[in-house]
Amino acid sequence: MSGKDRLPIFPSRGAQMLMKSRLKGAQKGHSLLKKKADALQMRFRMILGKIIETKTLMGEVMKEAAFSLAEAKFATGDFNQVVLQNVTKAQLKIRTKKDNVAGVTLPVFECYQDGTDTYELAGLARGGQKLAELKKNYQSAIKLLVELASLQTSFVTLDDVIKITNRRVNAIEHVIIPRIERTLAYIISELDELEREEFYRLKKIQDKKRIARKKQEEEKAALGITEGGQYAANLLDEGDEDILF
Amino acid sequence: MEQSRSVHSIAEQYTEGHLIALVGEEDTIVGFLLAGIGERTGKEVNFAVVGHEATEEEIMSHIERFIVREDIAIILVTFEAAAKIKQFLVHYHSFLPVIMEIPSKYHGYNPDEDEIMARLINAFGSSSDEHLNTLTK
Repeated sequence: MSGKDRLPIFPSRGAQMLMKSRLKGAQKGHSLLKKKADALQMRFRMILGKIIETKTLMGEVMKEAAFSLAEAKFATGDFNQVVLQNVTKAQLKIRTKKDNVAGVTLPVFECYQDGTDTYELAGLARGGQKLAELKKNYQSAIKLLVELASLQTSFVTLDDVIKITNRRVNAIEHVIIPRIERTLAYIISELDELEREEFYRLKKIQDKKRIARKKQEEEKAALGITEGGQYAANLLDEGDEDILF
Repeated sequence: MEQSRSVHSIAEQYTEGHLIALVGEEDTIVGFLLAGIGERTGKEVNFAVVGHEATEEEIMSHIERFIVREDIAIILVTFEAAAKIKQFLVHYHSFLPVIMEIPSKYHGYNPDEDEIMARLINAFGSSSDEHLNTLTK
């Protein structure tokens, strides 16, 4: 950390512009990601409530289904082997769909009826009513389970994605943006220093120039005096004015 | 808001014809078969009867067989069988097929022993306990 942690960049006006646009980009990205995280969180809460509801309901429905199985067996006799042997085509099937929440795909399962009941004429002699009830119970259990499957996968996926998104949001907020800001501050201070240096240099040059000009003028002035009456001076004191002082 | 959006995007994205697979003890399987989820393709069936004495390897071999099949979208595992392969289930994160624990005839549903419920509570910390209680009551 500290002031040392910044991007390796040469401090110049161009770099400053670049950093400024990067900072803007990072801030925009941060707010967008935050929005995404919020949207996911909202969905997540919704799913959470639904899962708990469905799970408890599922427990009850399964219990009831198991009970009706026992009832049917009591009425019909043991039909386990008949059922296990007569499996042919599935009547309840599942269709899947992909739902999209803030760019995250979630699977959605839905069960549907396909074809006719294979066990209609499966040679189960008695207890037709109990069997019909049993089928209905298990079918409703399946509907619940399928619903629960979508919720459960959505839950697991969302859980992961939310963690990743939050990590990104935090990284941008606490690492990337401060780093860019430090870089910007560094560039500005460096540029200021350069400016001061430049200013001082200009002053110095001005100074030197002034001195040089002064000298020149003095020389010129000296020359000008001599120029005015060059020959006279030459003639009069032959240039050995210094000796007089 | 959400309703209208999903209605809009139905129909075109559905892929149909997936099956539900089942691993568990006989009675539960018979019940679900009567509801009409069983399918036989050649010699292969989409359910596996595992008794109380089934070993972990046995159950795993069935599960693996179902996972590689592309027409299976959900694998239901009864509680006793799931308890034996807990290690695998905890690390299983795949989309398709989804593996779900279901209560069996002998073992009713108990939220405390459910892996997903544990994760729910994990995800929300202590605050979810209150949430859970308000919903389960």
